[in-house]
Amino acid sequence: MYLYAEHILMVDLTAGTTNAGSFADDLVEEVIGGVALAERLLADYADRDPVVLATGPLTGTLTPGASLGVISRLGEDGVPLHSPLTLFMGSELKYSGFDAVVIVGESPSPVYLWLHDGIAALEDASQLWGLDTWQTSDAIKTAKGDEVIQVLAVGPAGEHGAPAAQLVANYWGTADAHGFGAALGAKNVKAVAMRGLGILDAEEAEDLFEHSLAMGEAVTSAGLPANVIQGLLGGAPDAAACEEWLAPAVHRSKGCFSCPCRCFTYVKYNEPAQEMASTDVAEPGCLLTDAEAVLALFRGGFSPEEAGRLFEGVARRGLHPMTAAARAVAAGTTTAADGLAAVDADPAATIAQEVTPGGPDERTRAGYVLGVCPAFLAASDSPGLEDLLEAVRLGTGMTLDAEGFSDVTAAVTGVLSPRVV
Amino acid sequence: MTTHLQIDPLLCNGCGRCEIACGHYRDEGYTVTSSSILLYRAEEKNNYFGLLYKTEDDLVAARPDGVQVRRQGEPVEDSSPGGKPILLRPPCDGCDPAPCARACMAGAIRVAEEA
Repeated sequence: MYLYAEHILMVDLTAGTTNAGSFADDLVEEVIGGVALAERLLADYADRDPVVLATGPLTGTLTPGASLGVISRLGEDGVPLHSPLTLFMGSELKYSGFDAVVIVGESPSPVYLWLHDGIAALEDASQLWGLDTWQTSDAIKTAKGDEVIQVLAVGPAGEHGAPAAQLVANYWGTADAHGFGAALGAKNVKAVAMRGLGILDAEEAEDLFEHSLAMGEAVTSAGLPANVIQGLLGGAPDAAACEEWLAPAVHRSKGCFSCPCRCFTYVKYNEPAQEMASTDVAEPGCLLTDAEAVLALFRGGFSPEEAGRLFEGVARRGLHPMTAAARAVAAGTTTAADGLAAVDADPAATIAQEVTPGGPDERTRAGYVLGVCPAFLAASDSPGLEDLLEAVRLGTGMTLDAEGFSDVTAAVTGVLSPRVV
Repeated sequence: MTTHLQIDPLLCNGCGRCEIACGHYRDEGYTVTSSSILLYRAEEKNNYFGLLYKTEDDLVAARPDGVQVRRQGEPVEDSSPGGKPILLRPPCDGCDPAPCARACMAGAIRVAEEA
C-alpha cells in the first residue's frame, strides 16, 4: 500500500537469520501502524521475547511532526511497553525499507542489525562490545563510510543489564523509559544501524503534498512555544530561571525530522558556546534530551557546563538521564565527575515510571499510531485529527474515518508517554 | 528574471523538510536522494548543521558560520562520503513557487529574484 515501505522484517537472533515479509494490505487496514502494529507483532511472537520497532503511515512524510517511530516490548506482566523514537530514527527506519522490525531470540555472540535499501544483515559486534555509545556510533559510521547512518546504540549499562539502560540515538539520550538498552543488551544486540535511501510513494501525490504544506502553514501561523525548556517543563515555577541559568552554555537548539519544534538544546563546555564554526574540537558539547533532568540539575546546584558533561557521561553509558540526574543530585554532587561516580555506584537504579491516570489522551494515541510526535501534537492544536486522517487517506487511498480509527487507537493497551523529551 | 534561494542557516532547526519537499518535486515521492537542497547532518556530534544546495554553476553551503558559494569543480573537503553526493544531484531549476521554501517552517529559506 502507498505511503508504507510495505515490508516487515523478521530477525531471529538465535538462528542468525533475517527475513523480510510483506506488510499485507488487510493487516494495514486492521492496525494502521505505529504502536497498534507493534502490539500486534508483540502478540504474534509473545513466546520469543520480542522487541519490535515500528513506524506509522505518516512517518517520513511532510506532515508536521512526522518523525515518530516506536520501539516496543512486553513487560513482565505482559503489558506492552512503548518508547518513542524521534530525531531522524523513525524516518530513517522507514526509508531504509521497513515499516517494522521484529527481533526475537538471543544471539550467541554480539551483533548489530544493519538496515539499508530494503536489505537487513546481522553484523559482528564483538569488537564493539564494551564500547560506549559514542564510540559505537562512530565505529559503525566509519565502518560503513557514511556519517549520516542513524544508530540506536546500547551502552555499557545495557550490556550489564542495568534496569535504567536506555537506547541512545547516535550520541544522545532518548525518551526510552522502558530500559530498551538492557532489553537489547540481553539479546547480545549492540546496536540497530539504519540508512534510508528509499522512496515512499503516495496515492494522490500532489493533493497530499499540498495538504501537508497547508498543515505546516497552519502550525506556523498559529505559533509554537518559542523554545525548549520552558515549554517542556509544563509550568514549573522555576522554568524561566532554569532557562536563564542554561543560556550562557547554549549553542543552538534543534528539532526532529519534519517538525517545527526545537525540543533539543545543545550546550557546549569544551569550547565557547557561541562558536558557530566547525573547529578541531571534535566533541565540544552534548545535546540535552531530557528537560526534567535539566531542571533537576539546575535545582541541585550544577553549573550548566557540568550539567552538560553529566548528560554526556550518561549518554555514553546508555542510561536514562532523569534517573541518573536524580541519583547525582540525591548524592549531593554538583559536578559531572562526582555525579557519574554516584550513578556508577548504583547500577540497580530503576526508572521512575510516569503513569498517566486513565492513559494518554486520544491525540497522543493517534500520534503513536500514525507516526506523528505526541509532544508536537501537545504543543500545537493544529493539525487536527481529521487533518491527519485526510493525509492518510490521500497518501494510501484507504477509506479511514474517525470512527474506524478510534477503534484502532482504543485497542492499544500498552504504556505510552506523551513526553518525548 | 531568475530566482535563487537565500538561506539563513541560523534559523534552520535541522528538520530536513526542505530536502523532502524538493525530492517530491523531482520524484513525486518522499525521498532524500533526488533533491537539489539537502540538510548537512554529517557533523552531528558537534551540532554543526545547515543546508547545501546546488545551482547550475555553484554549490552553496549555508552553514552556521556563514554562507559560502563555490564554483562546481572546486574540491569539497567536507562532503559526506555516504548517501548520494550533492554533485550527482540535479541542480536547482529555480522552480516557482519553490517547494523547499514553502516547506520550511523555520523561515530559513527565502526565494529572491534577480535580473
